[in-house]
Amino acid sequence: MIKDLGGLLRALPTPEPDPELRGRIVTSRAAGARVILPTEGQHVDWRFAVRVAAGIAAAVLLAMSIFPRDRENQEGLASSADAFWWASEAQAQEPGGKRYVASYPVSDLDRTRFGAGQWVFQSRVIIDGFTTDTITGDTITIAPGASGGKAVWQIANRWGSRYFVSRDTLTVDRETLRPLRRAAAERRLQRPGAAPRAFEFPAGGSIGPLLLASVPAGYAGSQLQPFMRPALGLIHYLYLLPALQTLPIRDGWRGSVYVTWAWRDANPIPLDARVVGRETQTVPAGTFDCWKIELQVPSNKAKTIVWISTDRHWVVRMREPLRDGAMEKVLVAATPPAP
Amino acid sequence: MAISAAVSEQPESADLVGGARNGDPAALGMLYDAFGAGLFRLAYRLTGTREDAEDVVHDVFVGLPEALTRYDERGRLGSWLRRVTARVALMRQRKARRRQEVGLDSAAGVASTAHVISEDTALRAALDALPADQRAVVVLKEMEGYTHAEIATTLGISSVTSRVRLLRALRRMRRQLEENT
Repeated sequence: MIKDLGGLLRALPTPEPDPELRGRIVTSRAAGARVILPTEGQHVDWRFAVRVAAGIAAAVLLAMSIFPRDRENQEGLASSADAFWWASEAQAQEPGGKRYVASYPVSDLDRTRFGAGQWVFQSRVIIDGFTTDTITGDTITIAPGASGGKAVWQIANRWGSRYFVSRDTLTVDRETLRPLRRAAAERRLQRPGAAPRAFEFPAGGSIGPLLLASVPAGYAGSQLQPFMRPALGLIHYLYLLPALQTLPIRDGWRGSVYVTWAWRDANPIPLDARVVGRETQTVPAGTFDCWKIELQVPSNKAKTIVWISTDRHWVVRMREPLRDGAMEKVLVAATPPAP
Repeated sequence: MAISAAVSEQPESADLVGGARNGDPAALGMLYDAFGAGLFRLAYRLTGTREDAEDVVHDVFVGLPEALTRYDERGRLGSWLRRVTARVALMRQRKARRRQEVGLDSAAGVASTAHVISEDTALRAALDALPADQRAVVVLKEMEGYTHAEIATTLGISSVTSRVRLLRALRRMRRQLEENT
């Protein structure tokens, strides 16, 4: 008969941890790894969780049955919607609550600044002062073309990392810059050749030049999540760069635009921009005299900073604050080259 | 350096916790130096493998800066860390159990042949053969010295459930050990 089972168990030998474990932990943190730990007060009431999950599932099924057309369009551009940069919170807008309008609506864009070229950006995350590896890169190409007898601009964004590549092309009328067609194709490296998916913009729709929205007079405002953030996530780079190029920026300028979903115009998102100063920025593409501009969605106090060159209105650097760091995009190459 | 001095006197000093909470790698490393070995031992006892235990400790310390924002500094940091580690280890066990349905057969095979090796091995095999919920109570009560109230808090169960699981687990282990001797 075994009497002191507890004593025997306590005497069982245990190994020592790997001496490199400490280094692995510190390295993981520095590389941006995060783990959510189950601390006190976080026990899950499974019966409650099941009820909540069932409720969410029912709501999703109901929404899918009510808005079949919208779902179809979202699937058509799912390759961009599931992107890292695409703000998940932006897709979770709820009806009700306060409405927001643009503070200083801009009525005219400077189309003369819009032209052919190629801009290559790299994205990186800076946590606690550590710069992590580059996580994605964007290559924006604007080229002249023709479609249906019309002169058009093809604005293409090829972006991704070593794990995936995605392409997205917006065709706009060369004279009005109104969008005609958008095609998105995600090509994961493991299964190349996925067919592009396309969306035709309806003639006479309210999505205006470069996917910016023109709202009617007396517009009541848009419903926004309070934590919606301005730039890197919300605005797809495909049209952010061209749109910023055409804003009539100058010292002390401030203005607002309504950005839209890339395929629908419902609930456009007001975005306020304000020039807060001038700074010289040195990035891999060169050294630029820039306007420092704050971008802000009025429902959120967080501000994204964009540095736009004063000569050609190029986006040179963009910085979005995170809780303990920042996410940044920098211009690493451009054609035509910097003057 | 202020943090080094603080750690040698009192590992859970507010400076060190504050530094780790802010993501200071030095502070995090010092907390590991102070508590890492003990937490690894606990994780090893709960998971049964060195690899899993290292993964648990890794996850605990990587997630610590954010988790420390919920640490109110009223209790002892060591006890708090042990509770967090136990939860992480048990969550990992539950996930592994869902993923590996074939694991039970292989575990039974190990248990059935272990008795010929040594007393330690037989004891380890009996412990490994316990269901994860019972194993957790045995480890926390018999090996780590928790009270049933502390086990109840850590595992999110009642004290009565903790006692019942311990009795069942010990009875099962005794039966298996006596059959093998």
